[in-house]
Amino acid sequence: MTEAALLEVENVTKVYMVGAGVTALQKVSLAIPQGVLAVVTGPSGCGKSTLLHLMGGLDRPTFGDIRLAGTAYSSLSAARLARVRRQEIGFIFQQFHLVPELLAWENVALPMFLMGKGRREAEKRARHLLQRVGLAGRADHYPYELSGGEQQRVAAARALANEPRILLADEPTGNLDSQNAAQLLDLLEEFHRMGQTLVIATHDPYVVERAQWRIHLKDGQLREVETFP
Amino acid sequence: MKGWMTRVLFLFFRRRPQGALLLLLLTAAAQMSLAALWHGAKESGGQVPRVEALEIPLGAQAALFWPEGRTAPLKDIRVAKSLLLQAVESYTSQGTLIFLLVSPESRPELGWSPQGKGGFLSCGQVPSLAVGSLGFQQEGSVEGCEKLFGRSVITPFPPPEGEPRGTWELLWLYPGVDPQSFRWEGNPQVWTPHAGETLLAASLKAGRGPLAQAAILLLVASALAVGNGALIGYFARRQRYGALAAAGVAGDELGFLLVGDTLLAVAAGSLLTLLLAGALSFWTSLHLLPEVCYSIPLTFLAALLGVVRPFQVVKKEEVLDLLYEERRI
Repeated sequence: MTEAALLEVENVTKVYMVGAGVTALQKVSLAIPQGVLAVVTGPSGCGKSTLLHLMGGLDRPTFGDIRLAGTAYSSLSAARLARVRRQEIGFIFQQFHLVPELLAWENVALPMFLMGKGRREAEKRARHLLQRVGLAGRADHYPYELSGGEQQRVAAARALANEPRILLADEPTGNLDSQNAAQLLDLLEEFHRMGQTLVIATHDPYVVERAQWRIHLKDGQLREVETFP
Repeated sequence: MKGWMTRVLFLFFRRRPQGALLLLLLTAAAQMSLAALWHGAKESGGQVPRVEALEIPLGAQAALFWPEGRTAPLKDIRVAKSLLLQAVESYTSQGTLIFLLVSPESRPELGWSPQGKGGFLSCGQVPSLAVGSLGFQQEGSVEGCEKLFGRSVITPFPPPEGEPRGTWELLWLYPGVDPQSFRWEGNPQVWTPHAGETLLAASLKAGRGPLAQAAILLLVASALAVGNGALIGYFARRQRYGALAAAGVAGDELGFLLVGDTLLAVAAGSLLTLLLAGALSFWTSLHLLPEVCYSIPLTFLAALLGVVRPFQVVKKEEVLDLLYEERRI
């Protein structure tokens, strides 16, 4: 494994206990350095989302381990892992997953509230982040008042709320039209230029061609890792 | 509970007008139906329409039986003109009350020290009967009563046939007992142990009706309350817990939020129920407040039962189940 790796996946296997058991990932190992824009790509059902969930500590591997900045997930209790997830990892999901009862800025501020930040401080940063994603004027709107593209940008701002070490996005453009998808990708690239490490699970070729790292999966196995300058 | 949880819970409640209203109304509906059904069951089991006057001639022995384990509302048994039972306020859980009306001249022969014109004796497990100055009271076992007032004792003093020495109106009988079964035509020998058994059977049969009815009603109302809890859990899980998990809320915190969310919805519904019950009591003759006081904690319990499964899901960090539709349990 690379010493400078931010995220290390060590011989990870994930078996879902459905019926006789479904092996979603098989002995996958890779190391993602800090500051890269990586995509995990492959056909549907190849294990992209599973790998992302394991990287983000949303799920535990059946075998193997994952390390973020040297900390092995297997050594953490559920509560500690949740704290690491909250503090060190930002998530963007295909379905946006914004809390419908909270305003856009409150959705962005929520992870900060969870970290114990005061309302004033959290609101100030949330509004700043929304400005960064081009939604300054939509901060006081509920999710249902926003378009799909706007909701996903709010989700992106929320993912950055606690200044995570790594940002994981699971098919972030999957529910967006091409214009909104391009807008979101521009945003993610901007995050990357600012030094953010990103891992995106996608099968969108437009996203893949922008990545420095291309991690190809097939049938739950790592087939190839391509790197570009 | 952490500060942000309280804030989030109140924001949820304040900002989901349709959802909050639905849950609130469901809770109130479950509580009000539970209270109403309970009230109805109590009414049907606790009171019967006014019983026609029952004439018991002086010297006759009458008996009231009630099923074991039931409460006999003795205060509802009134014997007009006599004042003998009007002062009775004691309840007894089971047993047999036998009262004997005797002519004044018979009492000395029975060894009584008369205090007034009437005579009255209670037997069985009746803890206390205050019968006033006109009455005669003695507590004891049924066997004791039979010993004192068995047929051999009572037979010498039957009232002359067709000449009742006093008329007593029994206005209330034990619920559900057919008043006809108490009608006595003047022959003291009717009240033999055999007649008592018949009457006991009638009482037991009558008692089973309200009991079964109450049990069914309680079951229906409880199902409503549990269903309400389950719905609260369902809505809570479906609408926002995936989003909370995506924002980084941990499984144990989601569990607390879910329980808090449920309790808040039931608390708000309970407030509405209390207001409704209060308004009903104030403006109508329907007094549901006592039943509401029972139905509210039951609904809380039922609502918590309803969120057990969602709680288990979120508490065990099964956040992916909340995040992905196809994996949602």
